[in-house]
Amino acid sequence: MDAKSFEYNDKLDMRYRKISNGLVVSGMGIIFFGLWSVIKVFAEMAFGELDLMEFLMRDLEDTPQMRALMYAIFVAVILFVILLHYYIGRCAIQVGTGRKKHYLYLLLAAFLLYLDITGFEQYFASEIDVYGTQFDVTVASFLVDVANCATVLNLIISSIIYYSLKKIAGEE
Amino acid sequence: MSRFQKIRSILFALVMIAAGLIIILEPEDGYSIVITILGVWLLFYGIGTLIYFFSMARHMVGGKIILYKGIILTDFGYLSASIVDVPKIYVLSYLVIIHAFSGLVEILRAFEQRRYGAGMKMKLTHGVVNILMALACIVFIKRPATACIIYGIGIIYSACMRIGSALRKTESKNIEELIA
Amino acid sequence: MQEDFHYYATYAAAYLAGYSHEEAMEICYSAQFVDLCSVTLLSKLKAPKSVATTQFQLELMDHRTDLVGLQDITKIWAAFHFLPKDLYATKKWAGKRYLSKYRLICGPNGELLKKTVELAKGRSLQSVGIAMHVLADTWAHTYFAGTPSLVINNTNYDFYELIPEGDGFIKRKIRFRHKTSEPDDIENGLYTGSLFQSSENSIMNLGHGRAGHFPDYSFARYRYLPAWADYRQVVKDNPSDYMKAFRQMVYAMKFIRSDDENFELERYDTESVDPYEARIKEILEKRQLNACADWKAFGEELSGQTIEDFDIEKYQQEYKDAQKGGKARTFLGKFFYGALSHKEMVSTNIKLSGNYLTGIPDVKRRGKG
Repeated sequence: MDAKSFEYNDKLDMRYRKISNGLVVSGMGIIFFGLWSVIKVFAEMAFGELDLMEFLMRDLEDTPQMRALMYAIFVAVILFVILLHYYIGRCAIQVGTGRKKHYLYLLLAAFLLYLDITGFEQYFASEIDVYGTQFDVTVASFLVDVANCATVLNLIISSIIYYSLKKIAGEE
Repeated sequence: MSRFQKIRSILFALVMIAAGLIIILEPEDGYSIVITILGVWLLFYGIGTLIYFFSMARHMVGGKIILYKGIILTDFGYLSASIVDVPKIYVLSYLVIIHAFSGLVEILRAFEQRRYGAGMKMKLTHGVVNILMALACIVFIKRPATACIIYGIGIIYSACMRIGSALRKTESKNIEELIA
Repeated sequence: MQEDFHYYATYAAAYLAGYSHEEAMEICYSAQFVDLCSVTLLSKLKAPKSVATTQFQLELMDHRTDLVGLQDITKIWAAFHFLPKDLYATKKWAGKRYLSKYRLICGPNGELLKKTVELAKGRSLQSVGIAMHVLADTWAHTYFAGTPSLVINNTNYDFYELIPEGDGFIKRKIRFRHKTSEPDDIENGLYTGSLFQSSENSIMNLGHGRAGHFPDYSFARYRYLPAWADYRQVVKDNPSDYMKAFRQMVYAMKFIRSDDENFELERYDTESVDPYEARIKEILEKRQLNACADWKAFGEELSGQTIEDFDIEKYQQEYKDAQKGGKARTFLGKFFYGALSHKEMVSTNIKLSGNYLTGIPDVKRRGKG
């Protein structure tokens, strides 16, 4: 047997490889976007652009108990965002590298996509000051959110195609 | 280095010395300049990464990761460039890491050169100076405008090294002279 | 390739091509010296730095990677270790910047190889040794480029070793780690490779750094996804390729010694090598990090003479002691001349193809060395 016989380069093989690699890269992308969204919040706080207490306590009674509760909710939300992105990303990477089969992550990815799309409302809720100093920062954030959505969508579509290709190849 | 590269290198070094002196003599204004430069640099780096993706990395297996990197960096660049009042602690941390890493690489390189029997003094000195600058950033962390003065000294030092490198004797272009 | 092939195997090939023991020693010494002639060594010898044929890790670490820095790196690595196969290769939708790196992908039997061997004809034994090093490396370093490039030289998790078992092979995933202090672990498929760096011109993306030393092992058979290949897999069969490299070296050296004027690509010696094919195959297939002992034994059997172990300092004192007008006649002087001529030839050809990555060659060649 010749070692060269281990080269599998027909169209289906190449497509399958492209899709699996796409899954792996999308998975990594989702993890990065998740981390970045959390880091950005902390960066804005560190640079003085966001006052956490003011943000959390608006319209609420300012008591120590309420502060503690809002802090706890804030930490829980941060952890949830990180873990959600991490779980989806990790599952996609494991599926793409052929290590494991997962299906739950697809549901969670669809849920994440829904959250991302509904989050776009914030950009259109109030009038945007085109000549304001924060306009370009807003545009950059908008583009990041669009890219995030595209990544999640790409992950879902790649997963569906991946499992279809596996079925065609008779491995299901 | 060609003559053109040497002239370009020396001119750039002179600009660096001027910039370093301004930063040392006017720390508060200099600080704003430093932050703006860092922010704008980050922004251009992010945009450059996006251009790199569209011109090169899209042909690469797994190249989309570069697109994600570019998007995040551009966003971070916009954020940094739009902020002027960065607490000095972050700038000092950045300077410490840069100088410490650079110094360590120079020292390792100096020892490798010695292993081959070549001289090591210049590289070792360069490495030690970088480490000392990193330590200075840590020692004087609570003094106002320290970041600027250290950054200014760093720029002037780099400019002097650049001039020294440019003025080093060039080799002859003729083969016989090269090995005669 | 490593010392086992560049030094001992080249000796054997030179002897089979008809060179005497002493001539073969000069050739194989020069072939191995290409992997050691760095700027650091040249500084010690007070020799011109533009004759460097390699760069060590720490030299590369603080090397500038602006355009001029890239050109300096590419001039060395593309010329001596990753000779490009096709300087006019095309790829759909690829821009000029991408193509300039794509066209530097190394492979055997390219036009530049023909020019390399023909350049060595009628020149010193040192030039022959340099040409043999370059020829051998075109087989080991196929599919990688001698310029820092993430989009060409990157590898990913899809990297498998094919290990012979019975009449076939078993596939085992290779794991790369960045631990230069520890030797490669053949038994467990654990090899040292460079760190992933997403910067295009990072030194970590030079040549086959991402695959570490693995492509240089003669026993290696592997399958992976090159970054440039649009999701096509390639299988590299080193035992088969190294055998071809050996045969081609014998043919090339016979050509250099002969009156022929045209070096033919895709031609491999059979007459002198066939009687030893089984023996050579055994050496190439043996799973070991270093095959020096085996190749040395083979070479000594061929010639009946002792092959000195490689000593980097062997010719250094001669060069240092030579007077100003006499350095060109020393061993190292001839090596430097040959290296510079070869570098100029490769750089000129790359530039003539419209590729800016080696800049403009800056040495005028006068006569032969």
